[in-house]
Amino acid sequence: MSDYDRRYLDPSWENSFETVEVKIHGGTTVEKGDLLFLDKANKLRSRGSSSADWYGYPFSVMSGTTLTLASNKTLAARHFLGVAAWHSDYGVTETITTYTGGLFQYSLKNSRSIKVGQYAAPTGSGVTLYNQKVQIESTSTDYIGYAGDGGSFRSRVNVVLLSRAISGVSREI
Amino acid sequence: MAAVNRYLRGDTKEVECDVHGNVVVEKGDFCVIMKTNNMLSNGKIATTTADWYLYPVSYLAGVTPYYFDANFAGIAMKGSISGTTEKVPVATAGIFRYPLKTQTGVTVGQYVSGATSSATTMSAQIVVSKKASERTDEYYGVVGTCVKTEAGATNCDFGLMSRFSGVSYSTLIQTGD
Repeated sequence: MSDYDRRYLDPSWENSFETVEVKIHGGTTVEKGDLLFLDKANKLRSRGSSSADWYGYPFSVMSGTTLTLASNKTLAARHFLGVAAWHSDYGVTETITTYTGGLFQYSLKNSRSIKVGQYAAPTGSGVTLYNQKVQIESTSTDYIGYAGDGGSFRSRVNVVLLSRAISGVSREI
Repeated sequence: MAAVNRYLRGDTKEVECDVHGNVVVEKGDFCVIMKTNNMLSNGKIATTTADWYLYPVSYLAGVTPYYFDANFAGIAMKGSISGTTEKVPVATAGIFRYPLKTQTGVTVGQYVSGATSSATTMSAQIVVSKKASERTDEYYGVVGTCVKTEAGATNCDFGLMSRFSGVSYSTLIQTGD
């Protein structure tokens, strides 16, 4: 996936794109628009052999001890940081801006009908998560935001972002 | 409740929600998304199955706070008359001014909740403002936090918190005040 400005520029959301600065390792490539997690716990990368380093990583790097898509999805949602506002090339250790709030447009893994307020969750192929695709679920505990628009047979969705790593947002009961 | 512009300032972070033709929404109504079965009054709507459509809180089946809180979408920025199935913009953030159920002093930081109009019905456009320690079940339908201190107030200015803010009943109770 190449650089993509995922912000959905609705006037009522004009000043709602909160940002933080997060460090990215030189060995990690980040594209603008990538969904990022904050490596704030052990065993989030390299099949669960990593230690927390508090750097940002794209979702595709997520690889927990239990190597399944469902497990990686849960870990990604729990440590969700936000959306990369800029890219970071391989070989460059740097700090990039990351959106932790706002309205963003992402492609869906599969087209479907969407209702406002449904859950936007990470998705992937095999055991690897996509960096710039989501799926919509009617019930979910592993979500990174809510659908901000609806319609039939949609291939894209506007996502109201809910960063767990920064805002401390908890799950619904 | 008649349509009233309750908006004062700030980004409203609007989302467009579907409204059924047989549901009447007034501008300024507190609204919920029906994401749980049987959460709405059977007498007012045909379905009891979660359909993810928008309804004013006065359609809730009783004043059970959980339903208000976990499903609270925000404030309708446009009305929808009977007979029209359409999308309505709903504010999920911003500063709003609503009448208080009873005249009272309000303080910055207090929780603002939707008020009841009877033992079993929520008011769509009236609020109460309480500290966490003062809340009873009636006050758990939190819609925001007070942003202006005033003695003998008849209206309350508050910052809107909705489902889309990522705030839920559980987080409010955990943080308290």
